[in-house]
Amino acid sequence: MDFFRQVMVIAAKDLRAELRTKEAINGSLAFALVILLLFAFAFDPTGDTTREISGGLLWIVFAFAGTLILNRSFARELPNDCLDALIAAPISGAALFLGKAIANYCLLLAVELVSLPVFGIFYNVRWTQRFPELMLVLLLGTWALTVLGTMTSALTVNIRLREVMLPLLTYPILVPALMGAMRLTMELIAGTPINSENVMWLKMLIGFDVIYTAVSLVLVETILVG
Amino acid sequence: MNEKSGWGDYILYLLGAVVIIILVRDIYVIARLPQEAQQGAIFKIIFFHVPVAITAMIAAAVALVASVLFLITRNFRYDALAVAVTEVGLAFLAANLITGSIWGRIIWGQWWAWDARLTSALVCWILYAAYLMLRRAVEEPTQRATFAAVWSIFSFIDVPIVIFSIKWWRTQHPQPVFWGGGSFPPDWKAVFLWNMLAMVLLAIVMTVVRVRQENAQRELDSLRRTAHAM
Amino acid sequence: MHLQSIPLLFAQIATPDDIVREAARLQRNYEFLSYGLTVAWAILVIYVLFMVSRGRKLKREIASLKAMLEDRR
Repeated sequence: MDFFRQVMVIAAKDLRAELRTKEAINGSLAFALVILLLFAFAFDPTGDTTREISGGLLWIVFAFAGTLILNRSFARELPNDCLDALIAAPISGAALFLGKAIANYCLLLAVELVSLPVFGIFYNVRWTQRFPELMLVLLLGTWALTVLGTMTSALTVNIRLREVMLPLLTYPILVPALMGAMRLTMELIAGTPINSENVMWLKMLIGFDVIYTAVSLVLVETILVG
Repeated sequence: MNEKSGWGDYILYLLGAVVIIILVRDIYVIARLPQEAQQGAIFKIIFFHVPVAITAMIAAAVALVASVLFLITRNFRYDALAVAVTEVGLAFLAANLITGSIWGRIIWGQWWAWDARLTSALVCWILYAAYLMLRRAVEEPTQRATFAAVWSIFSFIDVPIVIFSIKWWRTQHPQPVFWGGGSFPPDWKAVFLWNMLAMVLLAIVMTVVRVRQENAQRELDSLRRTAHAM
Repeated sequence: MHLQSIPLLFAQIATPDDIVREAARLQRNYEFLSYGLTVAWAILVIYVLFMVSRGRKLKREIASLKAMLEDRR
């Protein structure tokens, strides 16, 4: 079996398992909606200020909701020793990691695509003005969140305080990616196009994704095998 | 480890004494230096603030090298070095953050400015503090060392990205006084370099002590296992 | 030329208020410098003390375990 088929098998397996139980995605979606609701109390949801900080709000919602999905990613394999079986299976750690990352990516994107219109309605924001660019930022930012989150999920699966350690590790290391995604989302929702000034955030986001995907693929084998 | 600890102890004490002498002399010299024209006395905090920051950066680089070496060789000596140097670097970075904050209170009028360097130093501090927490959460020694090494590599990659991205975001930290052609007279530079040397030596002494403690901890663990087996 | 320099001349004359304010500024500068250095040193000293106490604890535990193992032999 070549590498990409292995990756797809793992991703399909994870997605199928998740769609049957729906435990992570339901929790994550409900959590995202609850945070959106809570933010409406913290900020005036109809004011102009909301439009200015909306990019930040959205990514905080995505990051929080994302941890719920990512937390389950490897922890789901713990009962019945599935994780040991997966590691012993004749596929590389990189394929296992990439497959899981892709499955998480799909789930997280689904949650985000549901929360975006809800956000637009609740906060009276016309978020579709720069739709294609916004989708590009969403794809790139979510990949950064997913690849680091899946990596920390693998790191924390067997340790004490797993639920505490995952966000503790993931958020600080995501700071540059979240900053770029927040800034771009803010400007795109306000209707500013990608211009010579904010394009460097896009480049940084791409660079972040590429670097961390590469490093994770190299190092994940040592984490899983020990 | 035990047979050479006699000489090692002497060298360590000697180094520690040298550090203390240099530092005490530097405090005396710095107190007598004239005030800087624009910022007044508070400017002198730079003699502490910058060497501490550079030492912390060196510590992070050493931690990276030790972590990579551990992953290659699986020799626990490198793991001990990595944890020791990370912990010492964190203490130095904390001193750096607090002196910077106090300086900012005078010059900027606020304790914390969210500018590039402050923020990136804070993110860096949090990342390496997470490293220590991760170590505490993992029980099995080999796994602990491996996970910690991987995390150290991840953190080190993140730091330059954080620095550059926050610089784009906004910045108000003064440019480095040595390369920016600032108002730094040559005799001040000499004092500064002495202090720099003292800080690096201090960090080395602390790291060596910490490495020994890590080794002692491992010895303790193995003794416990023996006791348990009997 | 002559007329233009007059305001400059005025600007350089310090009123008593200015002197008091300048003295207060210097005082504050020194105060904060001393805070800064004290706190920074305190952190390093606390860290050293923390290391010393940990070292003692380790030594004690190793000694007691070794003694226990000797006894059992």
